[in-house]
Amino acid sequence: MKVRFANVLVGTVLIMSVLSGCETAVVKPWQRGDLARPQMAWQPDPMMSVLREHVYTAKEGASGGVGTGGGGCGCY
Amino acid sequence: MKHNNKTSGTLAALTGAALALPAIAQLAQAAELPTKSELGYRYTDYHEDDVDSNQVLLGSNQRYEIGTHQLRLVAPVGERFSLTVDALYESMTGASARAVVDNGQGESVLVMTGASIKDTRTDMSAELRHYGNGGSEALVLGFSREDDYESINGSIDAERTSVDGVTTWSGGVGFSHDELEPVPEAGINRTVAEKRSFLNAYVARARVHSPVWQTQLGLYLGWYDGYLSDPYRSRDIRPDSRQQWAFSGRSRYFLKAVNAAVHVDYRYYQDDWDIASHTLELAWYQSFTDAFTVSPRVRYYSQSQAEFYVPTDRGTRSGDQSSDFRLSPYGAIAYGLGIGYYQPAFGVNLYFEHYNSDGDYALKSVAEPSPFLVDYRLLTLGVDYRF
Amino acid sequence: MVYRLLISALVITLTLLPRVSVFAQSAPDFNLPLLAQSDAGGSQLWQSGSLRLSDLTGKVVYLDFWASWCAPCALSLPELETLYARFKSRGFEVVAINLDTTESAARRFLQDKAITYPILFDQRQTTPERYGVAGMPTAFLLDHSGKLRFTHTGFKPSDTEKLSKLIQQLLQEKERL
Repeated sequence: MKVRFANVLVGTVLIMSVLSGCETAVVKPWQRGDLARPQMAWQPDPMMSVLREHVYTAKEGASGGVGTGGGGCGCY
Repeated sequence: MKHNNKTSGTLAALTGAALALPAIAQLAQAAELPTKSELGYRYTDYHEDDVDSNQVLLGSNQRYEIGTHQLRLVAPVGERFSLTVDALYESMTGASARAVVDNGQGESVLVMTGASIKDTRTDMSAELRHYGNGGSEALVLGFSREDDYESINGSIDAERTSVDGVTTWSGGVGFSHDELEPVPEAGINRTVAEKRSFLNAYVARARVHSPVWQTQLGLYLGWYDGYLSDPYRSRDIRPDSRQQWAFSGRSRYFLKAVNAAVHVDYRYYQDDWDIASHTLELAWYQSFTDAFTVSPRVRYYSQSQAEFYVPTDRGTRSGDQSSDFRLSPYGAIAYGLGIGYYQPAFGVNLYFEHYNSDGDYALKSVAEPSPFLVDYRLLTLGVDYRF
Repeated sequence: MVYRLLISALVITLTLLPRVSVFAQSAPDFNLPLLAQSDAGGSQLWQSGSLRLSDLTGKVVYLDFWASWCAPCALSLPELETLYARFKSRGFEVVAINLDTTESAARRFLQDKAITYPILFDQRQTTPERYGVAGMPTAFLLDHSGKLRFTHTGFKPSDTEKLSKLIQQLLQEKERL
């Protein structure tokens, strides 16, 4: 169990660093029009996401995960 | 080339000047304060398929039907805060499994309750979020109540975006405290009152990679402590703690040529009950006009069994054991289709999902799947109003 | 040490007395096409279909960078119209540079808003780079000599009053000449 936990931690760090490495130029604030679209949100319909997560949690062995944050408009 | 140098020179000079200029509103807000209030309502009709009557030894073969009302209000409070209030009310009817027994021919069959079970659940939560300093932080408090169950919960979270707007770190901790008072039944020796607590934490990093691509990676940890068994099952003994962790990754990519957003979500989950699971979800948000969106999705799920899962209950066996299908090995495929129509002041949407679970859908082959694996369909109708 | 003290003193002075604009720089000039609107305000200066910032020297100018997808921009544009109407006769101008990738997105956004100040369309998106725009919306307040005097990021309802004071301050400077 502990060994597997360590594996995934290493994996997480690895994937994070790989994704950090593949960045190109910084996206300017005025270039974020497409990212700001509602259909590009992590959860375009938060109420629907809450309900579906609730159903999955009630019917499956696994539960939990990560919320939202980041990306999008980046507006002031 | 020469032109470029000139531009960056001007920029550098200007940035220097801008720093010396008195800024009127200095603090950048990463998570955006809502500029309008929004009221949303969803009604969901959830229907589980009946259990194959050949697999029911006793009781009803009708599973749950649930009607859920959801109401959400999001409103700016002053110029630095927002308030989100969520209310949920649902009523359910149907039968659930009491035991899984051997029918004498080596097959697992179900002992079900009558179809008369009725329960309601009320769930309320409120989030107060503060914006500023290149991010936001929030406090959430809520409670949930069923006929035999009460829970209070809360969480705090925070997010910060880098000055260039590319990277956002977010994290939070949450807790819940649950109390169970199982409905007594004549002739059945059932626990009277039990408690459990739950603590969880997450950290995530979102990045903008290009004007059309953003990703998020996250790590989640959860700890349960207390009574984790099912008091209604004839023989259900589970450990009194459970540690979970999950890694998740999400990607959002916008295809300009066809005006569609592609969503990919993956989660790897594992806990110390020995359940490991993979969840992969793909969604396609197709916009036809600014107002009209169609979004098909498919979700795949697979899990391995808990180490104490037993295909049939045995009174003679000692130690932890449970025949709950949620602890059994299986896989599931869900298809969904959403249709939305959005105007600046209102929106209407419809969502349909069909969920099918099966031992054969699991990543690893399953010798004997639980007879109680669930298949369901749900239909949601929603309206949103902005003012 | 003395150097540091001097710098701190200077910074404090600048913060307390925004009138003292020792560091104020000239706003980079540009010439951009007007966004074709059905009922664009027809002042003499931009009948040609484009606007050059330097042509506005002598006026107090609020230069706003915006886009249709930016939520606070939906607040700021009508508020700027209010300020424009209030101070126009004293030599105040609002210039709003749209940064959408298509003109039609901007036009749709403006449909239900009665905006009479000029809205420019910067298809190549070079002006925000030159001005060092760090978020949406960002605006610059220019005095009568074309110097950058204040930056304004984001937009909240209470900003209208704050801006009104700053505009009046710059108009008074201009009128004292």
